[in-house]
Amino acid sequence: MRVLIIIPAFNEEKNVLATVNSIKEYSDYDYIVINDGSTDKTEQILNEHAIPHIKLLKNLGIGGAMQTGYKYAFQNDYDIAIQIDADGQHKPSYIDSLIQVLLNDSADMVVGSRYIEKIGFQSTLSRRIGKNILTIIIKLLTHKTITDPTSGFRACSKEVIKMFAHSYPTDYPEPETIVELLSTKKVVKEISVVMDSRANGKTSITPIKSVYYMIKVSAALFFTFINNKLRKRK
Amino acid sequence: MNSSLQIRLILFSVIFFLIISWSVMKKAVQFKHSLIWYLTALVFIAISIFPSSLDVVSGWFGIVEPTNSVFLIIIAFLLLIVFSNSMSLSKNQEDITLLIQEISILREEVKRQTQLSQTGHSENPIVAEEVAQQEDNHEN
Repeated sequence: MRVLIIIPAFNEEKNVLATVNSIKEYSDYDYIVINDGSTDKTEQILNEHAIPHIKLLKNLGIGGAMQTGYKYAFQNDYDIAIQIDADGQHKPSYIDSLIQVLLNDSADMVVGSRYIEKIGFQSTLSRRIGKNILTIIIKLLTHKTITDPTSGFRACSKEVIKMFAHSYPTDYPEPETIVELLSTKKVVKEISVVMDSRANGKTSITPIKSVYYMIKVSAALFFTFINNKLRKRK
Repeated sequence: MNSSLQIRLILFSVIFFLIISWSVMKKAVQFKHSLIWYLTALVFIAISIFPSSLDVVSGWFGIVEPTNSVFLIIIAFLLLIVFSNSMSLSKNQEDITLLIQEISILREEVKRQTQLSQTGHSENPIVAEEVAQQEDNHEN
């Protein structure tokens, strides 16, 4: 069984090395950093330390970057793909639990959730409210409860790798992929994880944009759901 | 409508048509993208030759002033053209993303193969053989 850890990184010069080192410490799995057209020293650091990575010629955003990782996993015939953020929020010690649940519960995707046991970094109030709204929307659409729909810490099966390599949402990939999988009768499980606050650097979502973000992401979820329902009827 | 205004409108419509044709010939616009512009130009020519056709449109929509029908028609075509632009923009964006992803993956693969062949431990047997031969040549 071949496992690939995909680490999307955009301007993570301060975190990427520490993240990769802690991944190496906890596991022997193959890993690849997707440098999403960083404008800082990320590329230099990756080269200096001979870290396996794909340098995107232009910034594609998290969706395009992650899809590159899934394409790489698909082309190199990996059985499981793990997504883990480069900013040090996600602890590599949980990677094996993600894989265990994926295999034992024959799930198609397993998401690491910080809101099951509610310990560790719980994010800001406004983002928790936003997250709750997304959970409710997903519940209404698919009748399934996903406590941490924006979590970028997840494991995918071979079938899902193939799906994502072919088509992956560009705008809000984390919640959209959950709706996509659930509305096509795939099994999405969650496990409880503890997350750290970002080690260094700023989060990509500013509070001013968050209301606009919520409207757009809600609309995107509805479209994803309706699209899949229509496609299934055909 | 007085006839001198009508002649000017016909003239403008024909010039519009010719500009489009010229652009297509110069390949400044792809033929498939020009179709909607041709349609617009032909409708303009038809309206300027048969202004009474505007009264028919006005009748359908209950528009009192036929001039407003002109605006309605123009706006309808503009909306159509802008929307078709959005569609081809999205298509282009998708194609570019695909190209960036595939080229980036390919570059990484080439880089890895080159590094492997330089150290003489290539996964690719053909490359490994070539490297071995080159080393032999050097020794000779």
